Amino acid sequence: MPLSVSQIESMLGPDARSLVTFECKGLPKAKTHVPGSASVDRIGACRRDDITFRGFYEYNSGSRLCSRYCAVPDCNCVAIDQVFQAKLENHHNGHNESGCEPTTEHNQSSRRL
Amino acid sequence: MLLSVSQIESLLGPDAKSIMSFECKGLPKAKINVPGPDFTDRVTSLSDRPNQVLRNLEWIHRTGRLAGTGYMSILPVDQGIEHSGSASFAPNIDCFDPEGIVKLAIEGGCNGVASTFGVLGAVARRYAHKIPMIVKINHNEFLGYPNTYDQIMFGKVEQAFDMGAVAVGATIYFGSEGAHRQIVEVAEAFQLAHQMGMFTVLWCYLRNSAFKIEGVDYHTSADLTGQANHLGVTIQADIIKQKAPDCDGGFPAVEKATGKSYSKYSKKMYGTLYTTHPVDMVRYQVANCYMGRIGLINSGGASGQNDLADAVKTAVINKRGGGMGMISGRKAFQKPTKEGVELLNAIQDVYLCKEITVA
Repeated sequence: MPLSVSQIESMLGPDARSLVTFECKGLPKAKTHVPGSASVDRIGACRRDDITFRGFYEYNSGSRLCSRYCAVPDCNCVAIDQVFQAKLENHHNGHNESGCEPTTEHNQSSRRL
Repeated sequence: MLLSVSQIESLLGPDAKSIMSFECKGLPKAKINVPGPDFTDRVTSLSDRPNQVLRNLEWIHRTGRLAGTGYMSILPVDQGIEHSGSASFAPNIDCFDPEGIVKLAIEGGCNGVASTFGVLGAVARRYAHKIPMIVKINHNEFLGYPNTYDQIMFGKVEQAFDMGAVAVGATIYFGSEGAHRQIVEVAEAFQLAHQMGMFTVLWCYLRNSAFKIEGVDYHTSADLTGQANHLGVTIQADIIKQKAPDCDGGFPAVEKATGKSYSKYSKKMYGTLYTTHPVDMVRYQVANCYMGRIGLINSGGASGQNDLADAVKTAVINKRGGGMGMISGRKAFQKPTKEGVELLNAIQDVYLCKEITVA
């Protein structure tokens, strides 16, 4: 059960209001690459290194923050680079056990790999 | 809409007539390898450079608004390291983002973009096939206290190749304490880059406090920068990036100030090979690039009050002196994108202007 915003605010103490409501003006949110479930496709896909890219993917999908980018048994990642096959299969198995659901978005990102 | 020759002349101001009508006598045009659409075939193909290097050189020559002219306009952005992120990007926060830098180069009609491993690597898959990328492999780290001046490697040549770069770039501080180490490091890196098919660009700088004498900064003197170029082409740079000369007599000035012999030079060069006319001083820089066999591009310098006029003037002097183009960074990226594009286009217009000829 994740912490609620009020629980988080109570942990922030007297700084809570300032921290939670502050808005950056000089370097506004619109100018930055905000983390999100599509970070790998949106930003990592600009990088040069597929292996690093795949590592990012594994990291994101392997944590509690995994929401939409879970692995699927017939994921194309495995076919692309045999070196990573065992590692990815382990990863997939772990995820299937955790109950994550495969998504279309994931398959699309895998094909790009 | 191209700038007309009269618009360019008006930007040159009172110097227009002198710059536009000057003719180099000591090192005449007929003696140098003048840039042109056939430069790779006419000049570079005679060298030992591998075919892949020729291909990449030709790609940069065939990209952007100056495609097919033999001239080039490059956007360099490494000041985030060489100076600092805030010093560089506070005037235009879009360039804090690597994509902002590459987009400016593309929208600005540049032949290529030069930047760091981090900047170009962050967007390589999206842009390495769209615009030639030059990866700067060494930098002066500027956060150490007190600040020091030394170029150190920030990555490997193979990384540049892997991301799809067409070239590697490096800086040497000739005349500095670290110059010997830097010459060896960069020479080895350039040799590997050539083997891997990438061409090489040398930021051919001078750095030594002894070059500042009685209020004159000889870091940009024609004679010292010329010799730096000569060292740079010796380690097989394919393009020399040099500051535009604005004074001369560096060798004798250092000797006079220190009371010691410094290097070797012929007094004949002063006034005979070239004069202190800015076009003639660039011609001496070109002569030291094996008479133009290696392209000389001059840098634009810091952003100031009259960036457009200053950049156009430097470009006209570079072109008339026999140079191959301009590499202009701060004047272009430290302003809103639209103005940056206009400035880059104005520089390119100089090289597209048929009335501006090699002197």
